[in-house]
Amino acid sequence: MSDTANLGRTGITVRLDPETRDRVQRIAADEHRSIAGYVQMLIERDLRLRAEAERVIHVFTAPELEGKRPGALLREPGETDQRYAERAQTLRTLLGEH
Amino acid sequence: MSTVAKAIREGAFILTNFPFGPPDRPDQPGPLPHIAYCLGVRSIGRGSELILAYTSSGPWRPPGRTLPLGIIEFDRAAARALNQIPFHLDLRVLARVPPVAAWLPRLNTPGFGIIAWADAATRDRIAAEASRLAARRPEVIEVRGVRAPPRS
Repeated sequence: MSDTANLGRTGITVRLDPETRDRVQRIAADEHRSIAGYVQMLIERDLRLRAEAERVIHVFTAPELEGKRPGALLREPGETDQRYAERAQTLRTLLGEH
Repeated sequence: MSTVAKAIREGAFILTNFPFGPPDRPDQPGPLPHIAYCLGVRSIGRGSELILAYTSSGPWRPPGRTLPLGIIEFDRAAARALNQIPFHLDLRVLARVPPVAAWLPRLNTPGFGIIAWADAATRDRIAAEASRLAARRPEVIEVRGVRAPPRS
């Protein structure tokens, strides 16, 4: 890695037991990486997974409903106009119906 | 809207064949009855659809980690009020299903498979969390699944 690529990066020290270090070294070598590159890849992968877990909303839709345009949300007894409007908009957003 | 759809409303914890997704087919009823929370009911075509949120037994895992937006834990006391053991609700996992027996296995029994009702405070708490989840910038919400056609 060039000095330019390292600009702005911060080094950290990781202490591993010998057995773990040997395993990490073997895996890194198999993947043609340095140990530091392998650890960096692990961290970046975990951060991506966490970001996805925070971002993604899964919506499963029954096949019977596909292609049908939803109508009005059933209003709850005594529900205020404001709550009803907010709930309807929230559901549209979460279901990807912008 | 059918009588059944009117009986199942926001606040119902109901036994469903919630579609789990891989390794099961995400567009088919799940293999086991599972309790879901009803966020609302909408008319669709000549029928209706239920908008369900996923629940799972126990606290959010892994323990000790800050709850992500969209997760609500029901501890022992909160769960007991619903005659349940502790569980968590995940508003990031939703399903749109019609009120038919394929998706609601106890639909043809008295009570339609509704096992508990959230009280007004709990409904508001869940609605507020859903609202916070939806209020995130659109670019950080990525919906995976079939979308309904655009509104006219």
